[in-house]
Amino acid sequence: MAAAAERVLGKATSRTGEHLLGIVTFVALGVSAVLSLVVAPPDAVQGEVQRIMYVHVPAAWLAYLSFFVVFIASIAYLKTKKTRWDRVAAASAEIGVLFTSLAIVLGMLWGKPVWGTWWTWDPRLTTTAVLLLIYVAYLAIRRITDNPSRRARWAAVIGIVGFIDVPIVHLSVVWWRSLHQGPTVFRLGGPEIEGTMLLALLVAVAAFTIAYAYLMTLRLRVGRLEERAAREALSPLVGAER
Amino acid sequence: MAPNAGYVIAAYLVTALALGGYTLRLFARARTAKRGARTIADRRRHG
Amino acid sequence: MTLAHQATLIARKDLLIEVRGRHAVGTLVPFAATVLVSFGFAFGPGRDLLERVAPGLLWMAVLFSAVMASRRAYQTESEDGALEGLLLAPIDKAAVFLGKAFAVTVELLALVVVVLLLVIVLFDLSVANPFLLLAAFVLGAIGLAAVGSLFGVVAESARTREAIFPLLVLPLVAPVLIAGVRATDLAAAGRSSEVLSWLGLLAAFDVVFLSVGVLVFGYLLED
Repeated sequence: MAAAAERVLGKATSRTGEHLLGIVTFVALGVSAVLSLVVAPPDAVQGEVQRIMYVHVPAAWLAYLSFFVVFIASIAYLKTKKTRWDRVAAASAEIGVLFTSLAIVLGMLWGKPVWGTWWTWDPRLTTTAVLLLIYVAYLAIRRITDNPSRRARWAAVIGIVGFIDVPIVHLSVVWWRSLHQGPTVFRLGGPEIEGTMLLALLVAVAAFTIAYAYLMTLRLRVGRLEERAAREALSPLVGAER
Repeated sequence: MAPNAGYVIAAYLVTALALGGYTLRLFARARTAKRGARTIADRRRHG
Repeated sequence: MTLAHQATLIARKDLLIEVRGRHAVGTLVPFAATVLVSFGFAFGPGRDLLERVAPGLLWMAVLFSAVMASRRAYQTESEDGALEGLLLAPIDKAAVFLGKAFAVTVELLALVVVVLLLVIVLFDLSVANPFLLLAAFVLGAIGLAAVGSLFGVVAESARTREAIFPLLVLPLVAPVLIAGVRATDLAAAGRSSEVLSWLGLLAAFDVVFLSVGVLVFGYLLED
């Protein structure tokens, strides 16, 4: 009885915590939007379009942070075999796909007016595209593997190998692109970044990171619920009391 | 309006939709999972 | 028995199966040839463009063949349940990885010789510096074989679908493709000093993937 009460209390507290984090996220993103759209000055060269930086850069940052979390959680899982780490990896990978896709789309929306074309094989965007493909492979493996322990192990290996590969991909694309000194006069980042702009950027990065934490909390809870539902579905005759 | 303002608007809109949409989707998944587990448990008790 | 010895035994076994079954000759070479001729249809008939993209076409053919060869390396195991036998044998799991990677590398290099000749003929690829050219292919083949032999286990297990393997391998070997094509391009043009940095990248890729493969392969096999 006491144990059950404790469990319920634990859940209620973490739900409150979750709601609180959600509110903080909302506020932070709101503040960031105001700073980015109103307070920060337009870029001397690129004009208003440069404001896309305040969403593109944080999204890209989070794409890589999410994958880093997948990397660490994957190692932790292989070393400890605790399912908790597999859940963290799966959650971070899913959220990572969101941020990676977002970063690429935003990069294209920024690139079109600035470069005149949607895609120029810019090193950072290209590496991010490869990152997306690796993420997708990670999630695909999880989807098609039935055996849970095998799924966790295989996904962990991909999470580790993929993460290690990313810097190598980036280096090769940078070298590759340096052969063509094409229309990268406008690097997605702007040539100079003055005080207010830097502040707006940092706030944006912070706000997105808080959003990541909130989404992770939500996604982990969803993961637990879905796991429980799947377990119930698979144990048809196990009696009512557990 | 400033030139290229459309791109800025599109960018922020896409961001809001992506983050908000995913959050709502997670809430929906939580509801479905809870309902699913409850239905199965009920069916087991009464079925 | 040292790791190297175990790996050599596995490689020998795989290569013997290959020589007897002639998979590389019988299937991979015609496949690569078909791919190249198809490229000819897709990008020809103007010789200028084909000559320009010959290194890229060459590496694409090698890349697709590497995917096939890696998958094949594990297909022979799942027939007759040989994979379980390997699991139970008192050998280091990493030896299986290294052995298969070595075997696939050898198969790919045999393929490269044929494909190179084809490309020289079909697309006018000039070869100013053959040594550096071959070095690029050796290093590239090792990289492709390493990634393919690492994830080939995944491709061959029951209930996984076919398309997952290329989806897994292709993004990871992007550096090999980039570096390999650039190195081939520069070697064909005779710009030797620039080739070296790309060869360095290929070598680094090989070292990284072989080491990481040795560390994590066991986790893919256990059950």
